[in-house]
This record gives sequence, C-alpha cells and structure tokens, in this order.
Amino acid sequence: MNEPVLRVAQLQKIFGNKEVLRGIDLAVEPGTVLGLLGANGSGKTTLIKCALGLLRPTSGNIMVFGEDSWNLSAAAKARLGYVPQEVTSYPWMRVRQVLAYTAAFYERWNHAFVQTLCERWHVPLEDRIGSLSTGQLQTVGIVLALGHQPEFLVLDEPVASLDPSARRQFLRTLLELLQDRQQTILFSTHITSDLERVAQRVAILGDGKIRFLGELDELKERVKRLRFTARHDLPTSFAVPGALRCEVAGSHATVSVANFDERLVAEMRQTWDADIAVNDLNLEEIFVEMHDGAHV
Amino acid sequence: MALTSNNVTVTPHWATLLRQIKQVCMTYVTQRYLWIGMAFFGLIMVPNMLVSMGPQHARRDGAPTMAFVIGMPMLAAVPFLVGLAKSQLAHSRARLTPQFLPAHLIVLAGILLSFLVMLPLFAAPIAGFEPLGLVALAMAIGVPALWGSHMRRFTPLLVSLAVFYSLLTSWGLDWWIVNSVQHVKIHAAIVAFGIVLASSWIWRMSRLREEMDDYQNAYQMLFARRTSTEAIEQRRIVANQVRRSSLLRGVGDWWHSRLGGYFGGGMLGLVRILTYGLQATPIEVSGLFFVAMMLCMGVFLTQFSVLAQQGGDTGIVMFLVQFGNILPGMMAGELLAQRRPRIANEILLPLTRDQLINALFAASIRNSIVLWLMMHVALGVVLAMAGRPFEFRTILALLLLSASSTLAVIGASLRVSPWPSRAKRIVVSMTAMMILLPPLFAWMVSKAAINSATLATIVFALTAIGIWAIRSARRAWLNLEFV
Repeated sequence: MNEPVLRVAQLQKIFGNKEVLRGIDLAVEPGTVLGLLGANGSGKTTLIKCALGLLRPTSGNIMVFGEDSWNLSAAAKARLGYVPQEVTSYPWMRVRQVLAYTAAFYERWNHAFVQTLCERWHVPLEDRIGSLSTGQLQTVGIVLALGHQPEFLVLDEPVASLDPSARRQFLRTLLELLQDRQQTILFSTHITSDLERVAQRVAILGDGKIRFLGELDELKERVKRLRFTARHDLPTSFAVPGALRCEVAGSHATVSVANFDERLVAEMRQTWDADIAVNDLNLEEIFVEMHDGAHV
Repeated sequence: MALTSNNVTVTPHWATLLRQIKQVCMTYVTQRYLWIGMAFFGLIMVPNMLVSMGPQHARRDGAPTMAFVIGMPMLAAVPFLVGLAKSQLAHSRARLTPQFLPAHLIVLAGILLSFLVMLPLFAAPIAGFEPLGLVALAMAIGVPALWGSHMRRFTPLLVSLAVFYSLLTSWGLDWWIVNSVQHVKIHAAIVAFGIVLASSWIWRMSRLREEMDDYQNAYQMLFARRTSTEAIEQRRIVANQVRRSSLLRGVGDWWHSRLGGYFGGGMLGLVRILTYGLQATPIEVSGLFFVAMMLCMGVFLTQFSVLAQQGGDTGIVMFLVQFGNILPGMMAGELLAQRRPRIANEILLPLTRDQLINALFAASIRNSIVLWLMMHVALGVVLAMAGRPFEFRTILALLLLSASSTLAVIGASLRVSPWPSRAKRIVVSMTAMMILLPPLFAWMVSKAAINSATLATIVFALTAIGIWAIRSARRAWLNLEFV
C-alpha cells in the first residue's frame, strides 16, 4: 500500500492559552482529494499551516512525503503546491516578473502550462502586483502554485475572492488535473458545492477536533433528515437516539440524524405510530446540521 | 431589549461635539508609541529650553538651541500626525459615519495650531527671541513636511530639510531667529502662506475620496497586525510609487529582465535571485540617492555651516559617518522584516529552511555592504573636497571602526527583524545604535589619546557583537512561525 502523502498524528497546537487543535489524526492517501470543512475559527488554516511547516506543532507528528513537515527537504517542497487564503507577492513587480522570479527556483517549471493558465484565466501579465484586485491576485497565486505541477496541492479557501466564472474555470482546471495525473489535493473551503464536485473524502473540523473523516458518499449515507407525521400530537419528551437536531410541532417532527439506520426508522415508526419520510441532504445542509447540532 | 426606542434624549449639539472631540483625542493619546516619542523628545527638549533661559538668553549663542527646539518636532512628528489623520479620514467610515468630520478636523486643527503657532510662541519669550520669526520658521519646516508626507513626495520634504539645514549656517540663524525683526514683512508673509497651506491640508483631508491619488493609508505599516484591506492598500501604495516614477519603472524593468531561468542550485545564484525580492531596484541604483544626500550634506556642512567656520571637523565627520553607518545597517533588517509576509510563501520554495534563511541573510548583508561602500566613497569625496589633511592611519582607523560598528548595527537590525511591529523594531534598534555608536565617537573625539591596542579591542568587540547578533537573528528566523 502507498505511503500517505500527509500523515498527521495526535496534532495539538496551542497559541498562548488557546488550544486551537486538540489531538488531530489525519491521513491523505496519494491520488485523493480531501475536502476540509469547518466553521470560522475551527482550526482549518492552523491545521494546514502546521501541515506545511509554517507553524510548529505544540505536540504530535506531521509527515509530508514521509518527512517531518517542519524540516522538509528541498526535494519534498518541489513536490508541494500551496494557495494561501491571502496571497502575498512583490507589489512593485509586474505579474510576468513574479512568474519569472518564482520559476527561477524550480528546476521543472512548466512554462507552457503556465502560459496556458494565464491565457485561460486572463491574467494581466504586464500589470504590477500592487495594482491587481484581490481576485486577480488570488488567480496569480493559483498559477504560481500550479506552475511546477506539484504532486500534492494544498488549497486554503483558494476561490473565496474569485467571481463565479473564475471559480468555475478554476474547478474545471482542477478536475482536468485530476484526470490527467495522480494529483493529491487538500482543499479547504466554505463553498461546499465546490467540494462536492471535486472531493472524494471530507474531514469536518469542529472545536479543534476532527468530527468526521471519511468518504463523502458515506457521510451522505449517514446524515439524513427524518420527517415524522404522527396520528396524534407528539409529546414534549419526543426524542430520537443520536439526533443532531429535533424540532417538534404538534403531530409533526423534523429530526436530523448523524448515523442513519433503516432499523432505527422502523423502530421509530412503531414507537410513535408515525409515517416517516427520509430526506437526503447535500453537503452544505449536512455541515449546517452537524455544526448547529454541536451547539444545541 | 428593544434595539430602537421612541424616548430619544436630545443632547445639545455643542455637548455632543465636545464628547466626540474627547473620543477623537483618545485615538491619539492611546497610541503607545506617541508617549514613547514624546518622552524621547522631552528628554532632549526640556534641557535645551532650560539652557536657553540661562546666560544664552536673547543672545546669538542661544539661536541654534532654539532652531533645534522648533525644527525637530516638525520633522519628527508631522509624518506621524499625517499617518494617523489619514488612517481616520482616508477611510470609508469618514464618509458614512454621521457627524464624523467636525470633531476629527477640530482636533487636527488644534494639533497643528499647537505645533506651528503655540510651541514657537511659548518658546520665544523663554529664549528671548522675536515670536514672529520662530512661528515663520515652524511654518517653513512644518507645512512642507505636512504636504510632503501627505502626498508621499520628496520635493516638499526637501524644502523642510533645506530650511532646517539653513539653521546650521550663521546667515540662516540670523535671518530666521536672531535678526528676525529686520524681516518682519517676509516672515509675516511666510506665516500667512503657511496658515493657508495648513488650512488647505485640513480642507483636503475633509474631501478625500477613494479615486484620489492621495487616498492612501500607510499608517498600519507601523504595527504588527494588519487587516487584509490594509495589506491591499499598502500593496497599492508601493505600486503607485513605482508607477509615478519613470526612472524607477525603467530601471526596475531592466533589472527584472535579467532574472533568467532556474538559479542552478548554487548559493551564489540563490542569493542573486532572492535579492530581487528586497527592493524594486538594485541597491547599486537606489543607493545613488543616498550618495547624493551624503555629498550634498557633506559639502554643505564642510563648506558653509557654522560648524565648519568654527573648525568643528570632528562633529561634521561624526554626523556623516553616523549617516553612513545607520542607514546601511538598518536596511539589512528592515527590508527583511518588510518581506516577512512573502517569506511565509517562500519558505515552501524547493529549498531547505536553512538554505532560504542563509541566502536571505546573505542578500540583505550584501546590500548593506554595497551601500556602506558607496556612502563611504562619497564621504571620502566630501573630505577630499574640504581639503582637510588626514593621516593614512586616521583614515584606516576610521574605516575599521565604521565597518565594525556597521556590522554591529546590521546585527541589531537583523535581530529585531522577526518582530512584526515596525514601531517596536525602530524603537529598540535606535536604542541599540545609541549604545553601539559611542565607541566610534569616543575615538574621534580623543583619537590622539587612543593607542592601536585599544582601537583593535574596540573593533574586535564591535565585530563580535555584530556576529553574535547575526547568529542570534538567524536562529530566530529559523524557528519563526508564520501565523
């Protein structure tokens, strides 16, 4: 079996008195796209920065391509690409100069591929970095991260500043990359519809811990919404084991469950003498249910 | 609790305005570095004021002290004031918050009035000089500095500096301070013109709109934490500066066209490539500006100043050496510190952490050495033009001391460079320099009494401090987390 591209074991990160990550375990296998989801402040960016060696873990281990992330070799870094939440570059340089500057560090920089990306995304090569809009700068950041065609691409909310058209084009390119070669991607975003298009696996982060890690399809199979319609009014004591959220209104109830099971539904039907409709949820609804459910 | 209420208490307008003024004043007095700056200047100003009350009262001997008391606050505080005012008024809240402008503009006008009028009026009777000349002097230094800082242009600042440096000549002291009674009409005209320009600056601040070229807020550059909007604004300021200067554009583009392809894996190639990320133009070009400053100041001080006429060679050389030391020394750490957000990305370039930090340090120190050499060649030209005889031993000793103290300053500036707060970096590194440069000055004042062994010890000690600080800085950068 292949060695995971990224392996995180018992990762803890504390800033001052604040424990941001609390014992994270995570592995990203080669050729997979792992979507990272979590509310604001849940620790997604901290996890990514620890994984890339930008932050030093308080405790625990992180290995990238089998190397300690804090002391990555040049060879390992040549296989890595990163698009940060906030792209920074040299404001006085023209875009083409920044591309040439970055290319100068990579032995295998793909100039033709970069040119194609710049044409496709209408990158203004002659403009200075300082005069670009936030979205344009983000696009440049994506081109810079893809130019050496990394094996492992880490994206921290890469499309947050892009317009819908640019976002769509970016996702298209990402899907093309996934078809062409065995690309491994760690993709953090709040735009769940994007994740549904590209990610096979998802990790949901909450309060510094991984709340779910697995296949996206498995998550959708597990989290469901149940709509109860009973013959009589449901009592205030109405409850469903393992419910994330439960709303009762007379003879109707809406319940979200984290571990859906057909046997549970049959049991509930009998217990409450009710018709139960089972609804599938999309990733955004699942995320909201899991996030709100944790704070009820 | 209801968010809205019909029982609104109507407060008289003046009371509201007073309350707003109090809150605006709080935005100034809660600045920690304002108090540090005021304490620093207080330490210098108060003794000077006291001296001018003594035997020098109303005499020509007291004029240089007065020039310093009036001139320095203008040059030091005005850029800070402009920065703070812009952080408040070059902002959408200045347009969208009701009644925002009156209180802010009143406070701004009050501060300008204090600096440009009240301070000279207060100092004049203490020192025994005519108040009008001192007010005109404050206006002539302060108002161009105000507009120069506002527009981020050097030419108006040059006027301020020229007026300030004219006070180092006997005719300048006479014209502005000692014989100001003879120039009442011109001084009155300068005061009137200054009031118009200062008022027009306040008017301009009240009219700032985003599409204007001077709608720029560089104030947050001083501090550790910036929002993404502030980062965007600072990016734009740099791009605008390059766009405005055809020289900067031309040289920068020519330089960047020499980037070439893959650096080849060697240390020298890596240092060469990383140098591109330090400045918009090569140091060999940007350094020419400082060389020109050194030549202008040097020729002026050695040929025309009061110091030259009084035979104060040591003082002049001390000042020029200080200029030639501090600037290259400070540059090493400051350029690295400003690059920090970009180093957070560069740390992922295909280089080990050691390779990147070593090469960045080498690039920064190389730039400092080049600038030091350029400025000391200019210093040599100045001294040669002055026609003062210097022994070879003196020149060698001066160069050794200057080089070793510059290395110590480089070390100090690199050591503080990982700190995110620019204000903190400046305060600490300036303090460090005050400690590191006295051996150089001590030698210059009493060089005849210092033998070679003592000199060698001083040079060795300064070099050791420099190397220790650079090594410590390197360790700090290697362990730096990019939050």
